[in-house]
Amino acid sequence: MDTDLEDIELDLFVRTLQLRHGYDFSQYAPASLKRRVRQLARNLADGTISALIPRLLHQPELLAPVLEGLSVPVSEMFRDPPVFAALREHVLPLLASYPQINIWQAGCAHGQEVYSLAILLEEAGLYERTHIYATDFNEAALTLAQEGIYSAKEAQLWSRNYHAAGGKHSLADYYSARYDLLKLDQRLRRHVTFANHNLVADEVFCEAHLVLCRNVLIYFSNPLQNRTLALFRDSLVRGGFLCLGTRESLDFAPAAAEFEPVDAGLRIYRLPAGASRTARP
Amino acid sequence: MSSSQTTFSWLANQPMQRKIMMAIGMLLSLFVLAGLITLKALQQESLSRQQTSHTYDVQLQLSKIVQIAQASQIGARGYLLTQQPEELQDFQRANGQLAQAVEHLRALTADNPLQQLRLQQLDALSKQWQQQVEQSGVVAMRNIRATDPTARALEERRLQIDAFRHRVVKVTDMVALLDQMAATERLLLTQRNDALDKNIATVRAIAVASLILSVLLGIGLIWMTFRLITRPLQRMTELMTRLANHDHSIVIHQLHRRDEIGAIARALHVFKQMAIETRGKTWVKSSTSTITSKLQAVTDYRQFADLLTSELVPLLQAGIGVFYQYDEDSQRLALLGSYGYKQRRHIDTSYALGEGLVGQCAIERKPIVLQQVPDDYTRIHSGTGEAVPRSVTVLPLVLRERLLGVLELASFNHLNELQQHLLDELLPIVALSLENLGRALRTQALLQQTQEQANELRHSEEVLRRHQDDLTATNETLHARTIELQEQSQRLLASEEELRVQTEELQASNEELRQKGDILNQQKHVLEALQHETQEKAEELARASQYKSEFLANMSHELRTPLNSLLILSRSLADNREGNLDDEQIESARIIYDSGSSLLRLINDILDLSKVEAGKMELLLGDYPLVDLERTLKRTFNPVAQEKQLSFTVTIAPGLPAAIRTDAAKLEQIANNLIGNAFKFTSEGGVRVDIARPAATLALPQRLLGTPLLAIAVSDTGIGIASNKHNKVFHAFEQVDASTSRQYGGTGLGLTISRRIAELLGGDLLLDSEAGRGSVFTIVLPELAADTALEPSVHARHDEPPTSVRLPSSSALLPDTIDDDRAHLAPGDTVILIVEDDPVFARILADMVHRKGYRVLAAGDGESGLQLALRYRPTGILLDVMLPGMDGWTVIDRLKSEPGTRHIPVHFISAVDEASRGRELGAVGFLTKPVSREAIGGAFERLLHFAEGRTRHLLIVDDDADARAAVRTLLRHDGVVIDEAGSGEEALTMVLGNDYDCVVLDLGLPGMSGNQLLERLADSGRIPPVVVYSGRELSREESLQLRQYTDSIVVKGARSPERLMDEVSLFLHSMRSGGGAASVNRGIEHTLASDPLRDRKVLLVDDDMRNLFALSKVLRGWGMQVTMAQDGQKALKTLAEDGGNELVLMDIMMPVMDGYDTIRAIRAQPTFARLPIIALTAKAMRGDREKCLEAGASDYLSKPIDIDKLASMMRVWLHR
Repeated sequence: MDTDLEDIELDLFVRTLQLRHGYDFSQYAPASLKRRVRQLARNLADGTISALIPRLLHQPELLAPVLEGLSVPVSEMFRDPPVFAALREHVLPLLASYPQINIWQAGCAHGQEVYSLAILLEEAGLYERTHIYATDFNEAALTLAQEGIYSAKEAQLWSRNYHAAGGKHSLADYYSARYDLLKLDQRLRRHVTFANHNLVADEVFCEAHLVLCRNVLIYFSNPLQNRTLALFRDSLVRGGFLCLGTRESLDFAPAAAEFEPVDAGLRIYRLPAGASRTARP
Repeated sequence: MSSSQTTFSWLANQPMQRKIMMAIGMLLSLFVLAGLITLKALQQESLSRQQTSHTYDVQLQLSKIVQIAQASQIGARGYLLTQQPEELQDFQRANGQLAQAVEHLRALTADNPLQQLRLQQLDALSKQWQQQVEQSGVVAMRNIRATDPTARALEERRLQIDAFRHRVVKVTDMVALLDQMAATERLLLTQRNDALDKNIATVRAIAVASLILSVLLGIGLIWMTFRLITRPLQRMTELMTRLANHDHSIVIHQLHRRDEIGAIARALHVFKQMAIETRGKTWVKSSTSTITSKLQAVTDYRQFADLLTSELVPLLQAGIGVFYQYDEDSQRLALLGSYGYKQRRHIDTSYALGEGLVGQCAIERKPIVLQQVPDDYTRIHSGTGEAVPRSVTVLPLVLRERLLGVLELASFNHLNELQQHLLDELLPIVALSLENLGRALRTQALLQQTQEQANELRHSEEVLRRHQDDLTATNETLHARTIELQEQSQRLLASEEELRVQTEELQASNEELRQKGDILNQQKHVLEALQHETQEKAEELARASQYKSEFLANMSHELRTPLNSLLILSRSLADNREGNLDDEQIESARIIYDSGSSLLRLINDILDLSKVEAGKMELLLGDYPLVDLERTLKRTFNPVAQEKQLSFTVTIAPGLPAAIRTDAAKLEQIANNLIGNAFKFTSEGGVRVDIARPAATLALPQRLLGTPLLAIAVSDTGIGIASNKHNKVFHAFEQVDASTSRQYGGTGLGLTISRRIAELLGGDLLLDSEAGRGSVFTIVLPELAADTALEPSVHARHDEPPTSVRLPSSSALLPDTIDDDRAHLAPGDTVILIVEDDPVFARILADMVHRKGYRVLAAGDGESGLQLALRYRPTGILLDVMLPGMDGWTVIDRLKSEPGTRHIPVHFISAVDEASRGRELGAVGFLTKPVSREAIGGAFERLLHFAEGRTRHLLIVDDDADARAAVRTLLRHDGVVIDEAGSGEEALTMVLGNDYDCVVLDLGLPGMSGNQLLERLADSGRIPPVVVYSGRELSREESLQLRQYTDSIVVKGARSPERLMDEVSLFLHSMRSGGGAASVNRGIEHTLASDPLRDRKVLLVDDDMRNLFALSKVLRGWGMQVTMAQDGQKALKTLAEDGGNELVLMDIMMPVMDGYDTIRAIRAQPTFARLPIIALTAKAMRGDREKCLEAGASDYLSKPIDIDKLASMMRVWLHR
């Protein structure tokens, strides 16, 4: 009975969000979404989701914290080092053969991976001809990502990750730490465009040679996963790479049929180099 | 004192100012008097001096007159003597002067009558003299008329003598008179001088007198001042000094004087009173504070009482002091302390309230004073004696209405006012001190108690501490650990949210996995359900199949009968025994016969099959010697082998039983069928039959294991069967592929029937084969077939042999397909495969192909088309899209995915207008029906162009020979002819002269650069697919430039050869249209010359190069002039430099400067205020449209872009 009630509340909440603000969360994985909304209800209202709804309707300023609460910006630099090592060893050398390299980091959260990528590219000597599009639907996260300021206590883990991912120098070369904070070298941002892009609603906006979308699909339902993968497919050049989170896979998504595994364990995939793809105007 | 008072009664009472004024006034009057007298004397003196001087003047005048008189006399005498007129004049002048002088003198002596008188005499004398002279002398002289000088002289002489002789008045008289006058004056002078001397003496006397008077007066005044002012003031000062030194015994006089001294004296008196009062107060205060401070230092009650009495009693000059303390608990007053008190018998040391004076005082809380004390009251003792006090004072000590104690004092004197005052002042403070003391004592008691408790505590603490010491060590460890834990917990707290979020992520991913698992589960369920369903279906089918078989078995006779006659008649017609038929009729008859024969075979096979499936086939088991089998087979097939020039062997392995128990006829039927097939599909090599035990590798079905088996293996060296088709061949009406029937005939039922029979015999039919490697069919039989005791068939066995017989090439299964040349193909023929379901159009196409001298293969559906292509590898394929079964899209996809066929060019001819899709899938061209012959001709050309010789022409353009060699090595491949060019010019000539399938171009060339080469090629319209292989990195602008010609740009690097191969093979094998050139013209047909878009200038801004070029192609296709920019800044620059842009298509998400900012920047320029800007955005969220319009966009189009919508939108905005 209670859970039924909560499902109704959740449904109403999702519809409110869509009707009032245009954000469509109906295609998100329901269990995770419910937990996030419950947490929001605890933080912003008296604990029930339905109490959150009128506030969402009448207080537009509540949208930002709600979006913030609905997104799960977990990341670290060089997270899953083997993935970055694989990117460094197997993907970047191939990308090097393109005159310009576009990388789309979809769901960049607080930007740790964007900066990790930038470091990777810098060390591979490719950064000057690379452009990274870092997108997220959460404006607050984007702002944080642009600042590039993180808690210094993570630096140790990140350094370990960096070396495990085959880093050539010291991660400290890329940041300056003061007080309890560390700020990443803003020069790393010089080829990054941070932009708001909602995978639920928005379309292809660039021609990408590599798409990174890690630990985003797990929050999506299957149809939405399929749509997102189709976006990536349409965005990628032939022979372009797709890198997903280590717990995500392309199984069950019809849109992913064309991808070939490069390293299935690390979730790195590739569009066939010979497949005939042309632009979709 | 009184005498002085009386003495100075008047003067002393005058104010001091007046006194001073009087003294000064007296002095002033003295000075004025002296001055006046002196002034008077001086005046006198001055007058005297004036008179003296006047006297001198008179004397001077007198002597002057004497002179003048003498002068006059001289004159007169002179004239008389000389008669000289001058003398006369002197005389007259002297007379005049004399008169004046006399007049003057008269004026001077006007005050002196005596002198005046004398003057009158003088005057008369002088006048008389003058007359005399005049008359006797002067007139006479003049009257002398004698001219004779002598006479004259005489006359004169006479006259002279007359004059002198006869003269009455003489000058001497006058002088004498004047002397008299002078003497008078001298006398007068002497008198005056005497007066003057007298005057001076008077003045001197006055001066001396006034001096003496002044000195006396001054002395008097000084004395008076001393007496009246200084001395009283001195006295006052002395008094004041004494007062200041606290001498209060001073006596002040002159209090009643009314002058200032009196006022000072009165004020001093007031001061004296005040000083006395102040001293009293000070005494009270200091005594109070002394006692108070001493009392405050006291630590117990007795000390307090002793101190109080001992301090107070001397101060009050009393003899005895006793202090009683009031105890509230017992309501009694207890003697606490005393001074000079000798205890008497009847004096209690304690009183109740109201008891005695002390008690009374305590009740009333008012002081009680006793004056006349009886003798035996108490005594004041001293060493020298004792006496009864005269006064007893009992005072209560009250604080805030609370009685604290009573103080009793006994003294010889009554308490004076000051002492009383002291008591008034002191007692409340004493009370307060007493209470404070009480409080302090209580506090102290408590403190002590506390201290005792503390001591106890300390003691126990000691014990505890000993325990604690033991614990401390452990504790410290614990503490360290606690700190560590605290830090950890803080860290934990800080990352709580993070953790929660991470948990969220984990949960989400777990859910994702679970979901995937669920899906798998569901799929499993679905599969199970399907399986179940399938089983049911299978059973249903089996039943249906049985019905069908029975039906067919029953029908066979009915069918065969008419067919038979049909066959016979048609055969005879075809033979044309009468010779009355023309060729066409004969051909028709032959077709009827052939078709009939096919039909008959089909019916037979169907019957067989249906019989087996219906379980109506009976077995006749018996021992069958293997040598019989061998003999039979050889006999049957040796002729076939000879005819086909193939080898044929039958072997029997040793160790086999001589005979097996089985149905010989059935076994032969299977063997015949298999061997027949083997021959049918084998064109070289041979067929062998091996009878042996089944090989260990043979995959035997479960049911056969454990029984002695025999294997009859039929091997051939024919076309073989792909492993994925192995099952298919056993299905009814199935062959390896549909095209098989076309080449080899057969109903496709033989294998099905064979397997069924083998199964009936208790064995199985197995297949081992690979495409192109021949096949091995193995009949596995038990040595002893079980008598399955099948129902003897009610139907007669059919007579026809079960082996299939060669059929005419046109398949009965594909009735719609036209004839083709598959039977007459020779190597080197140019073969075009036509896949078309419309026979009329297929035939037309076939005719055209034939007319060009090529061979035709035709298929009516996709599947068979695909098979034909696989089998015959035609030179080119004309493909329809709408086909029965597999459509054209699938066919081309399959062709392109098959290595053997991917190189075959495919040209679509279809009613469907989806040219772009066709091209995407790799077709070389696309024609939309209806088509003209010319268009078809073009399609053939195109096909043949791409198919030409199967060899690909590749051009490598690089100035470095080593680099060319490296690329050549890399791309060397069968069927690829590689040319090389060392310069752009050379390459240009080569490309224009040849058709290259692909050009690998290095940009850095001497002379004409790679870019220029591409430009020239594009201009010539003959740009082949180009792969740019660049030795250096390219800027964005360079990439953009190149993208016009190709999107295959490979930058040299470690892994670039791999990509170069990919890109090149893409062009060589999938016939991708190479970059822009091939598709640029697409869509031009759709725009009319009058289209408002034609020749309009549009600026396209997008960072996505694919989009940029795809859109620009479309726009150019509409006849528009397109300028491209890759980001906002470049767009602004382009707008500024290149005027005439009539519309801007603006992407929103761009690096460097996004679309919003760019639109704003454009709008900020007045020139572009009205420039139409259409925003193109991938953003589809609510509010994105508004954002675009807000930034200044004219309109908004979301990606993916609907070209029609874009066109109409642009028409609106470009409407003139």
